[in-house]
Amino acid sequence: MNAPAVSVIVPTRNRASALRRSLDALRAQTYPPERTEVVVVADGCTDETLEMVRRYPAPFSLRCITQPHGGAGAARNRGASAAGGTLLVFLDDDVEAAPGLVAAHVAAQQRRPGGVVIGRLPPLLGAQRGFFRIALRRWWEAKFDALAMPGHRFHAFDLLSGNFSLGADLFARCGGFDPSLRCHEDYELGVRLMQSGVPFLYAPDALGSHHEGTDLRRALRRKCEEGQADVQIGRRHPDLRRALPLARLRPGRSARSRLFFRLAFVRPAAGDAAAGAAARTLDLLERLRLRFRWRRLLDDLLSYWYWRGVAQELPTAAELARFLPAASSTPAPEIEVDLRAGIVHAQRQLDEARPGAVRLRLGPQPLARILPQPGAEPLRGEHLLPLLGTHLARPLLRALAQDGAIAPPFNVEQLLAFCALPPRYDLGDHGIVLD
Amino acid sequence: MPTAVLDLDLDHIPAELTGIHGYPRALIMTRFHGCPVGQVAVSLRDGGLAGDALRRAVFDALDWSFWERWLHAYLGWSPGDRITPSPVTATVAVCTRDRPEDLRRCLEALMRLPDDGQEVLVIDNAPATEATLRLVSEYPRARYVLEPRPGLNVARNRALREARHEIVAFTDDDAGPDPGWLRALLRNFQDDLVLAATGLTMPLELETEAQEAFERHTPFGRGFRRTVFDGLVHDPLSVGRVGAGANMALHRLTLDLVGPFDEALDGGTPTRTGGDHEMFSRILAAGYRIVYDPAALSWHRHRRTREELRRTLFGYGTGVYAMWTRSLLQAGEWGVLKRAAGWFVQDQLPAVVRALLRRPGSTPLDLLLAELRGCLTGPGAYLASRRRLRGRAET
Repeated sequence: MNAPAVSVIVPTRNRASALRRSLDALRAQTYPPERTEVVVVADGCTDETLEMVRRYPAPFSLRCITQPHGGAGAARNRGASAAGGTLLVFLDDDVEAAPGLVAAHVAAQQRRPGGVVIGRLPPLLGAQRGFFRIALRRWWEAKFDALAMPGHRFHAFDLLSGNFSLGADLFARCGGFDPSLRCHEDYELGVRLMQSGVPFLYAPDALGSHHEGTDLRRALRRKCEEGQADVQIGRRHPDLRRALPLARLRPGRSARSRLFFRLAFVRPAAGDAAAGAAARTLDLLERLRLRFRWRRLLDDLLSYWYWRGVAQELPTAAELARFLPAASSTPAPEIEVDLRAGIVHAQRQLDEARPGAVRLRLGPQPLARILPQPGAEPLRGEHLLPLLGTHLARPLLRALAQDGAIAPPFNVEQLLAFCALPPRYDLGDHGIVLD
Repeated sequence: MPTAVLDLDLDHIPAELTGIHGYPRALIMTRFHGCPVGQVAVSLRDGGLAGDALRRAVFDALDWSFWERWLHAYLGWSPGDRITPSPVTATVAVCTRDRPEDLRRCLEALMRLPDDGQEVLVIDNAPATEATLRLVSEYPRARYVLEPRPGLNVARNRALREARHEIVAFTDDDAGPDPGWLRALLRNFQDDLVLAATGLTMPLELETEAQEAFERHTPFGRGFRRTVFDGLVHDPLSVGRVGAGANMALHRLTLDLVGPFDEALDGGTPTRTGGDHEMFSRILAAGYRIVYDPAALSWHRHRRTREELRRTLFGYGTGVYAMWTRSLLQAGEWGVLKRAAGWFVQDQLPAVVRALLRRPGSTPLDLLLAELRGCLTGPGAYLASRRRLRGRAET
């Protein structure tokens, strides 16, 4: 049990040299090679990938399976069904694994058996320049920084297929990836894993840097695919619709973003022309170093292409409106937690009940409700502190003062005046309602 | 009329203040569980203050940032925490030039830091005498490095290259870090996006009118609230609120990610200051974060004479405009023109008007004019400094 048999599954398509680099990195793993197999799934490859893998001098068992081009999801399923290990580690072909990656996945799996372990996948940037390079690196880094917060409440969409692991039996039980999705197939798998109560874990030491090839044009095209995929995911999982970006990403405050939104649904040809012209002005804004304007325009463009993807599935704004649920749909079991019995006690209560929603109070004083969050893991004790320390700081301090836990010489009156100021955080975004 | 500087903990407020003779006023910095949370100025009578008045002054001065910190302590939670461990130790670098008296106080303070295995580097920058070398040899835990090329930023770059640890914490030689300083700075580096952290700098003494004027008009302190400056949100061209090089720590990755300090800027060059802020500016422009954390406390001895203070303010003006000149010329940051206009119209000009009208609390006119004169010389100073640097590289 100390060294389970691990199958590393690498889907690839016509990128023999990138694949070689990632095999080289796998050769340097600290995990025993005799307990490791690597399954390369060549997804409709027409280059020298097969030949390269056949000749590759691997210290571990190395197999190459071929399939007609069917997408990364299908390729991963294919690899998993051929794998012999009890633990599956999925790596993309552009990932250079740090020597401890496999061992870190195994260690995290042993810490929380039956879970999904998400590894760290920072980008190695190549040809990108300027503001776009900064924005891209930031996007990745911020994603992993959020996962590294203690008490992070995992969401189905935290699953990234480039570097993660789970038990082979679990993968089979949940049916693997949905091969019909062109992208976000990882998010969709995350939804099903989350629904079956599988714990998610982040292991920053399971480090694999990936060679990020996305440029601006590819990022925009990808957004369009994401819009399309998100509607497909929403069709398959109606409860999730509220959690999809298309439910929250309403046209922004500016006239430009409202115009882009309309064009995406009503006049896509004119919209594409306008978006193309706007993309060219990004260069001008960058030359003038107008970084905040640049950023806002990029956000509008990304939203436009996302909406274009959505519109391919839901061609009119009316259909989009019908697709979206009016308000919170599924009632989740709510429990009541009294913080007066102590934080540790409250945490234990959450750990035992694992509720989807909670009503917090301090003695007789109601504090707030945390509403059900579709796609998010049930609440755990760990989630409590970050919420109390940020979003609920004002109501909690007010309640503590009124409860007598804060008393002179502190200036209680002044504290209550601070607490009466409007909250500094956007509570609605986090499904929090103050009582 | 000097001001006594006091350091009190909320958990141990004395029954009354007594025996502070010769000081009509006191500046009280308060701590909570060792961490600075607020400050208040009080008037003293016969060198003392009654207990009631003291407590009222101290507790009424606590603002919302205190209550956030109080709550975080109550919860045992901190916003900078990540599941990745914080770096355990660091290199402390003191860049100095012919100021052995100040340096001794600084080294004494550094020797009072808890020993986490940190390295202490003294970068002796183009010294005129061997006084610094002799002084450092009295401290076996400090390593002496001679950097013959003059310039504070030259010395900072040398420190980054010499350092044995990933994080390099810089203190000025005229500052004395608090025992908790280094650990507080290091905690902020758990977040991978953080390339720099700065701390709170309080006045070591307010004995002269010049020192009081400095603290009143251009304090080093940036308040008592931990603030994360993020390049995605904060304008990289206005970094005054981020902190200062007298009390900062840098990740050594900064060298690869945004480059070294610009050796045409800061002390020892015609630009006089600005090297720290220019680095902050580049870090933010590259999309990274800088944390201002008041828990990282240091005490700074302000310049004692009015003439020194005028020179300091002249230097600030010069440095800011030198840095902006660099941003404009090297990075094409046209936004500096807007910043410069905004600073003049919104701050500098109204301050001059207030001074001319002799409004109470206004900054003395000679100081304002010194700063403005500095601004005017800044662009030329930067160009001259660059020429000098190039000339030296050729020889």
